[in-house]
Amino acid sequence: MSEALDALVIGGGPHGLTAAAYLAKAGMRVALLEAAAEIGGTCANALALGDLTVPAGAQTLYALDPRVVSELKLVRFGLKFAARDLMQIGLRTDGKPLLLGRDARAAARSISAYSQRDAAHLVDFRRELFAFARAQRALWWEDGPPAALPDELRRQGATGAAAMLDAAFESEAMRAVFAFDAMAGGMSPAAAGTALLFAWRAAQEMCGLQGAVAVPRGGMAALAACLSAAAQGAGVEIRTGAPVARLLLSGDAVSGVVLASGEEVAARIVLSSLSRRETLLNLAPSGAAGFAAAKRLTHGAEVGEAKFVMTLKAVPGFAALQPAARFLIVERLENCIAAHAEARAGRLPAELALEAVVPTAFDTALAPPGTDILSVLVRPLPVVPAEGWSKLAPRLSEAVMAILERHAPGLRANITGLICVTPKPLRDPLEISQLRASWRARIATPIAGLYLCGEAGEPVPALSCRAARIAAAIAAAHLKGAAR
Amino acid sequence: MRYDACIIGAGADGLAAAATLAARGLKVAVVERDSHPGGRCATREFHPGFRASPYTDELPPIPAEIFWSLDLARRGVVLAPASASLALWPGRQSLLPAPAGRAEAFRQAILARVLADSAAPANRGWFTPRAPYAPWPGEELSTRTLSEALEELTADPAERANLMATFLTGRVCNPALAGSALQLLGGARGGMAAGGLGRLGEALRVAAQEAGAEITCGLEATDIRRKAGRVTGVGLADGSDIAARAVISTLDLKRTFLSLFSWSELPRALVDRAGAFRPAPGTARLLLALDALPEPPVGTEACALRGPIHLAPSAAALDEATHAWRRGALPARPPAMLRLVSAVDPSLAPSGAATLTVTLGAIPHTPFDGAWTHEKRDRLSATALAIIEALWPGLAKRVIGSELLLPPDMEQMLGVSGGDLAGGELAADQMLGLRPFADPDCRGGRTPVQGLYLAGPSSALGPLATCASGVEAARAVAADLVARRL
Repeated sequence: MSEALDALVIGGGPHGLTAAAYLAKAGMRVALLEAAAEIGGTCANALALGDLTVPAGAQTLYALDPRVVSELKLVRFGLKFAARDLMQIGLRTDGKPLLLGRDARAAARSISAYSQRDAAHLVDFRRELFAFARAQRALWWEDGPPAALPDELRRQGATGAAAMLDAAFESEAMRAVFAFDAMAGGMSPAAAGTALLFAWRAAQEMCGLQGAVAVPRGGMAALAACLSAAAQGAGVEIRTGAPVARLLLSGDAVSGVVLASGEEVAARIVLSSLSRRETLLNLAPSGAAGFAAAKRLTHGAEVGEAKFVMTLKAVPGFAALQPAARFLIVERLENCIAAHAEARAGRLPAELALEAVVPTAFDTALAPPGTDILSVLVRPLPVVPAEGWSKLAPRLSEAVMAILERHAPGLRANITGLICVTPKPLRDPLEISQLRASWRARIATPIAGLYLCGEAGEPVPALSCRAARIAAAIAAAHLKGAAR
Repeated sequence: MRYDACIIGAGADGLAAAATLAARGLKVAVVERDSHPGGRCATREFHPGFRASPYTDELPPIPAEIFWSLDLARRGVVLAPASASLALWPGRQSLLPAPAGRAEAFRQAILARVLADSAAPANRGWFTPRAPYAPWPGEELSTRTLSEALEELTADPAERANLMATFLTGRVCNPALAGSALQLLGGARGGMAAGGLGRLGEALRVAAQEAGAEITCGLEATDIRRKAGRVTGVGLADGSDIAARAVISTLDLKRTFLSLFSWSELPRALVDRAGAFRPAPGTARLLLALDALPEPPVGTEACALRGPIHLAPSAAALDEATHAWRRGALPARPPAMLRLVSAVDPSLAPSGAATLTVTLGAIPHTPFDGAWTHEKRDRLSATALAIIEALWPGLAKRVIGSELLLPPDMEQMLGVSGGDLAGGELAADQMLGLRPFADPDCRGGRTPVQGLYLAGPSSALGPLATCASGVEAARAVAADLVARRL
């Protein structure tokens, strides 16, 4: 690296790759630094599970910015979807499953076993939610000035998800189905403003369908590969096995980074796809963040989620309902509120909310014939349990197995391999007020020239790459302004 | 005869509304279900020679402007300044002066804004461009947690626990939930009234009657009469009607809209809102007559016993109690606040003896295993005494008489739904501009029903101040009458 770089991107996950690709397309000289030996971040197939490798991060895509897909021409680089619109299925122990797909009549039929009123109401609920969500895209999709807050946004921004669901549905089954999504970002469904999480999710679009949940063909690693190809095609220099030790500052502006090997890399701006806490607490010199920002960093997320991936000899019974589906297993919404408090106190909650997906049911190339994969997200869990994860993890596995066994009898005997990814520390806590803040407020940092392009820049932590796209635009404007 | 306004409920808010309207020369009638006016401003003998204010010892402050306009000082209302609060833990304690700070500034700003707003007539019927939304003072609290807000006030965890209990005054919440910082707004204390809160109620009654309001006690309002969409009066339990151009209800939201109307007459959204308005966790009150002034706990000075005394407050216990309440279970360790009321006001106990009140938080209205029985009541009293005895040894054996008031008792005596004195949980979707309705046309206590005004605990100012919501609604009625919009 003889010539000075315009921009450095820290982290080779989808967010970092997107930001680097956009910067390179804007004509910058960009390098991307990835600590691991392989590109992809949490999407990389980094975990060994028998003969297979699986990613540690998200199991579905529901928020990927459609403009990133079209502008980076990801389809030309090989992005294909194995499933475009996973059906939302609520599994119950007290009755038949709820099939909440786009087919309103089938959904109403399955709900009517629990409540006639809810069956009739689901259509209205979805229509209102989707209309409200579309109206908020100016705020959630663009880097414009924050829209004047209409009454409804203000009202939902004060309402807890539990209160909203209580008002919308009378049956426990329907409320419980939505409880898993209400706990996104480690929030309690009773916390003020969590009603907006549904609207935010409903504002997203996958494959041209509002509120859809999709899975790329070849898994998340395929998405990372497409983004990597797009970034390299645009001229990004990708360096793997290059962990960043700290940021280099000249005055109060960033001037580059120092790698763990001691090598210094100079750049005019730096985009970090790590969390706000990792970036400002671990990489920036202490005190550089300023007092007010450092105070905001003192508390990390206390509640998170774990991921279980298992290989099976046969598909679990519930996958026969609909192969392309996300199965939500929650008994009662009320219990989730108590469970969240337990998790916050550092204990394993008595009640857990699960989202299970069987990716091999709709993407047979993922595993050799005769082997199936079951991927499960579990919420809410303590990030730092009182007894430590080494002791808690076996108990958690046992609890998750017991829940799964209830819905898929005989599952335990079919398991050939299992891997558990415990909640990641140093994550930023989700602040509901960020759902109404501007993009620039999240992306910019107190250090000039340093921008956050990862989940820290998103209103809600999710694999959307929107923050990366907007951060690249802000950073490019910054460089142009400096040149002038 | 047709009145200008009929007020349902002769509590502090109702009487203040009546006095404000009557002072403007309007004809006002007040109907009260109970045999005497005052509502929760009551003081009575619960054991021979021992008196206490049964529902609460202290109300939120009366705004100075209203205190003087109702001439309460001349009518004998003396309010002791809010005294320091004491928190006791085994072998540890914390004494803090009554808190001030940003929450108090927010509260004052909200009061000023609402009281100024209420004098403007309603928009109804005229085309008026809607003013741009002005954020409420304290709106930022609705996304913050109580723990975090208290961390800004003090770094010491013991002081923080004491402050938390002081701000909550018997209410409970989960202090780690976003939005719980709003509890700070409801934490203002107005000081104890000399002679008990009954004296305040009496002064307000005199103020209303001297201004010319007619107060009828022992008569329950059963219906609000409407004709062509607007309110025409109030139907009473004895079959008679009071004709009025405007009605101010000081009952809570649920009781006002779900029991004074037939539901089918009201807009669906209004009934849904009233039905979904969440009650706050209830409180129980245990009134204790002590045969002698007890020795203060070890290490405490007698003068520290004049304010609220919190027993082992902690965020974890609060959280646990809140979850127990949600399930309808009795918390194993309910948050307990003691007031040695006779130390502030000696007239409440015979000479040499003492009156102690205990406020227990997170008490379910109906326990999950069925309604309250004598056994369950006795068990709750015993739990409370055991909690006290653990931190203040020697007190329990001084008790010579007691009375326990549970949420169902309060519901029966005061007519508050679910025995919830707060009139609805102080949550972000039920506070500030959203309490009780989100509609900006409902400011000044106005409701979607033309001619009906809502004051009392469920109104925007209900949990923030005493008398203020009544005065707010009265000003709105007067403004609408002058502008001929009624």
